[in-house]
Amino acid sequence: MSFISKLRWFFRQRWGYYLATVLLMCATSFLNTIPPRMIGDVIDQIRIGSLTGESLMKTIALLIGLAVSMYLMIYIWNNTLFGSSVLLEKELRNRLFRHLTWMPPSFYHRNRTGDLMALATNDILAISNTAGFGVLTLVNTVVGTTIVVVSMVAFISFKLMVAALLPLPLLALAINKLGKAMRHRFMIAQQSFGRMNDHVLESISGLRVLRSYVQEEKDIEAFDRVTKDVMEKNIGVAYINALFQPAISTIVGLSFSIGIGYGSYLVFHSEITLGELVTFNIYLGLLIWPMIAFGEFINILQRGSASVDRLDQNLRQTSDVADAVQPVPVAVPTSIEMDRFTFRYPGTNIDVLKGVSFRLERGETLGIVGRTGSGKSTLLKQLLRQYPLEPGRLKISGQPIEQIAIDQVRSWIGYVPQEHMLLSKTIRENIALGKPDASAEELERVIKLAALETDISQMKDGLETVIGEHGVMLSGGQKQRIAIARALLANPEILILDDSLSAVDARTENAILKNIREYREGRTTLIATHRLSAVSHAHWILVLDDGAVLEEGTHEQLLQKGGWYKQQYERQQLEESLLGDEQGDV
Amino acid sequence: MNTKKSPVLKRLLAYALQYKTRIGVAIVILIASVGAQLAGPIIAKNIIDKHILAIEFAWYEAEKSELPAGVRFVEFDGSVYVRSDWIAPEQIPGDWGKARIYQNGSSFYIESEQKGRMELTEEDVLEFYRHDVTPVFMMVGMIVGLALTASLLSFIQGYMLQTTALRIVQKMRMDVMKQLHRLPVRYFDNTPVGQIVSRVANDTEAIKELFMSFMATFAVSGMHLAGVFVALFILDARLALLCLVLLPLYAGIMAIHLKFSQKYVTVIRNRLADMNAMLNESIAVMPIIQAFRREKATIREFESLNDERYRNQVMQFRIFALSGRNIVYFIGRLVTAMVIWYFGSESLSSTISFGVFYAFIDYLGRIYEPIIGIFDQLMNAQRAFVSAERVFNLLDEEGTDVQPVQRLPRPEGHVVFDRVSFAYKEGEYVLNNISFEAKPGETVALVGHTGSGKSSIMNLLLGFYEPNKGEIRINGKPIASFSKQDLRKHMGIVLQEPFLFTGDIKFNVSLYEESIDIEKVKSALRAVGAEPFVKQLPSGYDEPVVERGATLSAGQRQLISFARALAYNPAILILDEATSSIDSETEGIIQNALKVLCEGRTTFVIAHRLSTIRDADQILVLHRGEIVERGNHHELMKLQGRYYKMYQLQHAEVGSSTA
Repeated sequence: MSFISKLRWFFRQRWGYYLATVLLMCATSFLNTIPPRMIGDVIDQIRIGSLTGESLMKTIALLIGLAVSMYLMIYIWNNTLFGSSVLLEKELRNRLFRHLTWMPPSFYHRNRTGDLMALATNDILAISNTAGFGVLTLVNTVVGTTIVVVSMVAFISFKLMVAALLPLPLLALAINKLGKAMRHRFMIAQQSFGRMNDHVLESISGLRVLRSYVQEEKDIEAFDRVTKDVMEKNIGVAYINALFQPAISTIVGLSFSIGIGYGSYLVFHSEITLGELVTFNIYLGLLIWPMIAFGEFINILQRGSASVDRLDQNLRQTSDVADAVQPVPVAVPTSIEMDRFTFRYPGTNIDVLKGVSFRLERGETLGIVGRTGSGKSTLLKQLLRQYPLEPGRLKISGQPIEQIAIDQVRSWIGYVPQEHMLLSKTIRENIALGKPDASAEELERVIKLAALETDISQMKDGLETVIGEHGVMLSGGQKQRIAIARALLANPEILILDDSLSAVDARTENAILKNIREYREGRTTLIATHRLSAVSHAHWILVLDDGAVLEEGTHEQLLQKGGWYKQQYERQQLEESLLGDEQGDV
Repeated sequence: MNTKKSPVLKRLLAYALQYKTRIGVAIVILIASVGAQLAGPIIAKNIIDKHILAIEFAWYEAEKSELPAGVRFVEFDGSVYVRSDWIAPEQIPGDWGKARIYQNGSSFYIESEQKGRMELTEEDVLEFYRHDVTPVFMMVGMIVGLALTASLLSFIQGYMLQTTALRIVQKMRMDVMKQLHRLPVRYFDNTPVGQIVSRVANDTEAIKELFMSFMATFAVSGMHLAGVFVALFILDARLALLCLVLLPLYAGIMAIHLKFSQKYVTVIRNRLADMNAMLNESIAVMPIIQAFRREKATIREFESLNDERYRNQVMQFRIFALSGRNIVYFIGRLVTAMVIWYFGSESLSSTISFGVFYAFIDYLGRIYEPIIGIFDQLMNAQRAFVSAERVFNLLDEEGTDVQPVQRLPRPEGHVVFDRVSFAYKEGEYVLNNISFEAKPGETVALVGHTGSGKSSIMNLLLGFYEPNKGEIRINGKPIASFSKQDLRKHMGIVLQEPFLFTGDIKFNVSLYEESIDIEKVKSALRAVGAEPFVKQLPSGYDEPVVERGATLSAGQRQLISFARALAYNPAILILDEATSSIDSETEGIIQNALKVLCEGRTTFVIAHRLSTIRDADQILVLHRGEIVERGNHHELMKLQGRYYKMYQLQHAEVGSSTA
């Protein structure tokens, strides 16, 4: 029972509730068998003429009392049981989310977003369903059936019970089989539905092609075939679905027929009375739902167990970036140093950084250039401690970075990634991510520094403009500048710009870089870029090629050298003069 | 929303009414099936009243010799007994003694006028029941038969109603798809693809659920309820009338329940959607959350959403436990008590029918599940209405009907742009006063940077958008005078990002066009130089193409889209050159393919690599929506203007061997 063992922590925490639930369910199941007996008794009393007005009133009062107390008991166990199941849902979802926030990028390479989303919704809901509805059906079947069967034997007739109950296991079997067939066909129908989805997607994405080649009618015909297939697959589901009710009523009808037929026979033989026959038939009615439920229970349990396994397997994955056990205290990053630094991504066997060395003092700027895929981003990401690294090769203030607390390192850094990575919230909230308690003046200053002033003032909602699908569509350049403002607001010791002005025109870029230089006097900046003019003021420039340093020096030194840097710089100057007057934000 | 609800309902109903015969037949079968199901308790009532309890009817003590022929009798203690329902009253001689059988405790006694009181043994009792055994078994057989019939009928109607619902939705999906092809391209610029897909797929799916549940739950449950009450009225009209109070009572509880739980259910659903959105986004921006050490704040935000869902779920369950299934059965138990009281107190003053008593209890037990079923479905119906409204809104968008293509003669491909201006957004012109002429068979190249207006010219020529000012003419006729389909019939297009459909290679060349057979496909692929690579694929021309042709290289996709254009043999070809980097070998093949393609037709090339258009008859250099230079390659080079600079830049790029 992996379901129970893997959720032991939860059942231990809620055992009182579960105990109360089970006890109350037993009690209600028991009470539920009393009214049928009273009906039978009344019938027999009327027949033999022993019924009096007083005894009738007593019976009625008892029935009402039973109804009220059952109502209350069911109310309570409904709440304790389903309260537990939604609590479990909540706790699991919190656990998963917390887990996700601690996981490094390598985790996200292994686990696709779609799978993680499925885990957070489908699997957690399936587990919660098993812990709630599953428990309900289980207890109901076991307890309910036992009490009813015992009552049948004790108060009526063992023979009649056996005979009438013979068809009922078929019910559990039929529900189970039909349920399985149903899910199987449902999966097929879902696949067909998926193909229909894809067709719509292609019809829209390929709209211009279809229209240019005048294929609209043909596409509609093809879609007709696809939707007909969806319909046929769903008719397959409907076929099974339509079998449920008849299967239930056939088997139940059979059971009732045996009850009344064989029951009458027993009455003729004076083995039971008419009242007992009526009681028995009502008892039979009480067994139908537990039987149906049991058929479903097996399926619910299977789904829940599979989901628990999947979730558990995910939660067990640990971060491959270990925090320092005994962190060395470093107050200020006075220098950053790489010493023959080599790196490969976890699970790969190609070095993406090969023996890179540099040393940067506090207040200096490092420029990193090179073609796409040369390792610029990878180098910068090392400072963020996203990946496990070779010990002792990357030092801050002379201390190996892996010996400094990760939180401490990150507290120094303001990071502007290649993709702006904004949240679908307001511009203010996005910028404030860098420093949630920032004052209005601070906010205003970084907006000015990131050259966002005019852009924001032109928006109807200003800083409160919501970014993203439901909000205003911002240009790529605007988004990048928001990301820069966000990093500047944190006023970090180390600012990392990872090709983060690619969509901003050259003039604005220069203005922003100039602002940054002035504002960040005395603090360290690392800039990776394609546009070489952006690093011309840097104290040191690395030219990376295939993970290794190809050239290095200051801007002037590199120009003198006449290598890749010079060639590229001149080409870009020419391009600039041609485009200068026309390129705005892309 | 309420004001819009009735047209939505009306339109949904209109869809259903297209299948009114099927639905009608199914409902007749449903009624028969419910009838068969509900006949059971009535038969049981007869078993009880006419057989089991018949032993307590009046008996006559007779001489065997006096019995009229064919009358059933029971022999006991030397006498013959005849039950009152076995013989017609006028056949009873006056001198027969009367007898009665009654039960006291667990023993039966017979009391006759002649012999007095005697206790009956079990065998004796059985003897008195002798003539009831066969009829009872026959009636039980009838119950089984009816149950089987009911099951069969219920299967047929269930299957019929559900397939009808599926047919309705298929029809609706086709209507939406037809509408998509009527809508102008502009609509798709302003609407995210995901949203449109959601209309066609998910919203119609919600409507499907509505129809299905209406058919499966409302119709069936409603019919069951009606059937039960008909039976109750037949059995005992007075008590049935009392029970009728149940319906408004349950309806009232349902209304209150829905009113209170709606609020919670909405929050529960919305928070789940919010959490999913947040989860999705957080996964995407996790590096930023971690770099800015906002993990705890993010967790707090997530957990507050989760907690809000949880609290509402607890409240929802509280309401559910208070007024859901629990209260339905609670009231049911009270009604049972009432029925017992009714029959019990009646029995104190007169005799009652035990069969009716039994049948009442049985029937009443059958109304709770249908009521709960209706309860559950009402919650979902609300949601489906919102979906239906969205689908109908899409269907109401204005569009142009797809026209059947007229067999117009292939035009020569003489294209004129006459002072054309165009803006996507009002007032923001992307093309200004563009005029040029392409003679049949000429190749015209358009050059300029992103946003200079090259693509807009193509969009206008294909009729995807209408110019705001000026006119475009093909063979002297303004394009506004053609239907879109006639206009495009003789045009071919190759997009910058060649779009491949899921299917196979040959489908991607011919698309749905039957006149392009496999031989034409092959020769087109051969002509553009794609044959060698296609032949190397495991299944050749039948090689499956996955979504967007992801398994093929950019160059290969380009060649297939070339072959497509060639196979359609258009008079006017529009070619948006690929920007993506293509290896030099494929590049060479593509250059040759281009020459093959342009032959014998008017060709417009949007060029990114200037080397490809050196042979063009006309080169138009666009800048900010205007043509700033025009001429052939040599003329433009001589001019030493923008074209010259651009050409030099690209030349330098090739020289420096960088990406």
